[in-house]
Amino acid sequence: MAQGLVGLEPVMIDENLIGLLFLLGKIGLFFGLVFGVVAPVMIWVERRVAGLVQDRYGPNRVGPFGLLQSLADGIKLVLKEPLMPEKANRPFYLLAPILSVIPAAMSFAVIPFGPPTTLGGIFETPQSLQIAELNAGLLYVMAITAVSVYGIAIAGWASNNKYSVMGALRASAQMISYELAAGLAIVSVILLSGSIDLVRIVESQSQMWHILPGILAFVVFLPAIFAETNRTPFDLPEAEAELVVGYHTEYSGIKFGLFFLSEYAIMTTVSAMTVLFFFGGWELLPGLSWADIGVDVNSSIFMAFIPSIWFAMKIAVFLFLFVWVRWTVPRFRYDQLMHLGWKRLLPLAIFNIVITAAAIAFWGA
Amino acid sequence: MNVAFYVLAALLLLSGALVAFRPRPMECALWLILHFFLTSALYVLLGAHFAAVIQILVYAGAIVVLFTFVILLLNLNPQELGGASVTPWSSFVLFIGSIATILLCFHVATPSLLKPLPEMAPDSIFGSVESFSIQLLTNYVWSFEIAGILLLLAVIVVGMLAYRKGRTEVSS
Repeated sequence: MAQGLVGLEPVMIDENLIGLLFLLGKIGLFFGLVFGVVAPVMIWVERRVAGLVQDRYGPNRVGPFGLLQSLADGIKLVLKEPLMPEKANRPFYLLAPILSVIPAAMSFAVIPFGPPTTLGGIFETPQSLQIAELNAGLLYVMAITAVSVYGIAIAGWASNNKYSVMGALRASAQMISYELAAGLAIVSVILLSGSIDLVRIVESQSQMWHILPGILAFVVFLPAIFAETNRTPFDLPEAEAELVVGYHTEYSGIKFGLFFLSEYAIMTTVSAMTVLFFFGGWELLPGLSWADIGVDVNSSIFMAFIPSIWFAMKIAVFLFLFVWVRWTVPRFRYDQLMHLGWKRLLPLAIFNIVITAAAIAFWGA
Repeated sequence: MNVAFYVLAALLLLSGALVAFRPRPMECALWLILHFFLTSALYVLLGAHFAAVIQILVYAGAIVVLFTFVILLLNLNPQELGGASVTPWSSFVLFIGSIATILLCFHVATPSLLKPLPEMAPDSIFGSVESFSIQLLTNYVWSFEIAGILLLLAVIVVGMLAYRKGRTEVSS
């Protein structure tokens, strides 16, 4: 489906079985990791950190340290009786959770998780570790996260519940407002790296991560992605105190589970984006490349994935930040949210583009 | 490619018709999203990847979100929307009208349809971000700038209208 929609060119299926297996392996690895490992573990981390912050134990009974809690919850959600409000719009009610998971899954397609590698000589030319090599990769991720709001909007509308509609309403307004700020913040990243290809954005950061010249962009981008993922302090679409739980009030069982899963999947995507844009992706440290410490990504399969592990560790830091902020910062009021988005972040992002462009024009890239 | 085009074109027409004829505005908006995705798939078939991504980003990702926002905000119930939009009389008019339109399109477009498309070089950068931006900032820079100014004016006018309305409400 992704291929038909935005013209992802499959990496290199040159009637070559190894190439095809490599592509399938990448897809399997990425989806298995994100939906099978990262999301369940993050749910556990979230609950444990919540426990820590609120001075209580989190889930600690199922398995070592409660690690299997997410698995148990998953089984519970699958086995639950599916309930549906009588007056709900049936096709759209059933469609909404699916529409919320699909963009979450599609957005990984262009995220490169390591430098191009020959996998220890299996390939003659270095292959990119990204499911779909797309030269407009950055725009693709923006487009997919932009359409992810429909899952929420449709869920709210189809449930035929006023709290759900309120949640959907808030979600669509919030996403439009903060997408602008996030998009403009990314423009300065594009200016700094001179490309919208995600691999080249990372490669352009080998000497200096964009966080330093792009600190203002980061200041705009970070709140914007919190708002895009509907996480506290911007989780007004599901504000428990006012809206029960907003758009997914009427969802139970595995349909609720899908909303839950896609929230954590999108969180992973935006954390990966933050690392790719501002923290050098899989690059070791500014000015210190993997080759300098003797890691040759082309020498063996094991070596090929060492930068990916470093990349994953950076992503983990941001995933933890999401959790940490959620249990530390209280929710914004709705007018404060709009005020911050339109009157603070947007002008700041435009100002940042102007000074970044001017600086590049005066001093060169 | 040809088969894909005809399948997409048929689906495009179908989703377009559903946008016009479904009774609930929210459903129409959803069909419109499908319509935009299919249009973007057509762009992909033409090799215009940038236009395809922008189509989704701008239309499906922003404009229809705004539509759904307004629809949710108004929260119309079916009674307020009036009766069914498709009556025997209107469907008759639509039928005649669409036949006429299709015939007219064929009449106008047949000569250019019969011309084969120029072959594209496999490594051509047509449709890429580079070629698009070069065109936009050289040949079409004036139209680009004028469009920008028009949009800015529209934003200012909307802001003023909203502001004035807000003030009168406060004073009354």
